[in-house]
Amino acid sequence: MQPPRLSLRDCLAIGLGGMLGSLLRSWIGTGFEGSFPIATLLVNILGTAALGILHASRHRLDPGGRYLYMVGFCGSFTTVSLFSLETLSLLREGHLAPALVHLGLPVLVSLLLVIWIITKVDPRPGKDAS
Amino acid sequence: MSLLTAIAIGLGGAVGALARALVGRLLSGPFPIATLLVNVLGCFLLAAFTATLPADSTFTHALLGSGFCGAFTTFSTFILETVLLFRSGQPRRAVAYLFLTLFLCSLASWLGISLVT
Repeated sequence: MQPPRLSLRDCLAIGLGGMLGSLLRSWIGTGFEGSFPIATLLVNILGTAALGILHASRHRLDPGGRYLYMVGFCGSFTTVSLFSLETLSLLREGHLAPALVHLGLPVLVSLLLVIWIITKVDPRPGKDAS
Repeated sequence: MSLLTAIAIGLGGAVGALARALVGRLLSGPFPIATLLVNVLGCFLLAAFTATLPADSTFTHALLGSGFCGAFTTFSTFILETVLLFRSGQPRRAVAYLFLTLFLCSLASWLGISLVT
């Protein structure tokens, strides 16, 4: 099966969303200082909750909007590479408990938030496999 | 944040998001292999860049690290896909996807640091 191609418009939307998401993430990152990387934890939870809301109301978005807000913005605002590297750094410095909190907390909170948002908007399971 | 750093982050972020979307187009299927792949690859790259790039090269760090790797990898899609797998009646796949991503990403970050130092 040939996957659908991305049009120039789609690519512009993804690129613009990616640019804005990355800038906002980095800007938030400059606002927090300290040994525990709270900025990454915060953007990941916020961005995942936003994606959950957008997914739950995706029928109101046109494809361009989905590429701009969901794939571009939320996709780039949240990040796994820095999250993983920071967890590893905490571990290598011997901060075992902070490393576990940094790894587990965003995963747990984001999962619960997305489940809650989706259940609230569309309580029928199995209907949102898009 | 200087203007030059902001331009580097914006440029890297746009390219990273596009690269992630392209991988998603090429690898679509019942298991979210595309997101798993970009996340693992991005973790390795960021760790390798962080270990190799000199500390004073702010522009390159912003372009490749905060920009490209930050936007190429995604936490929000990873979590949403886990929930969607679970809700479509595939709880074992959801759990496997969750733990496989966390394990492989940690491994990739570690490899990225270890291989280049």
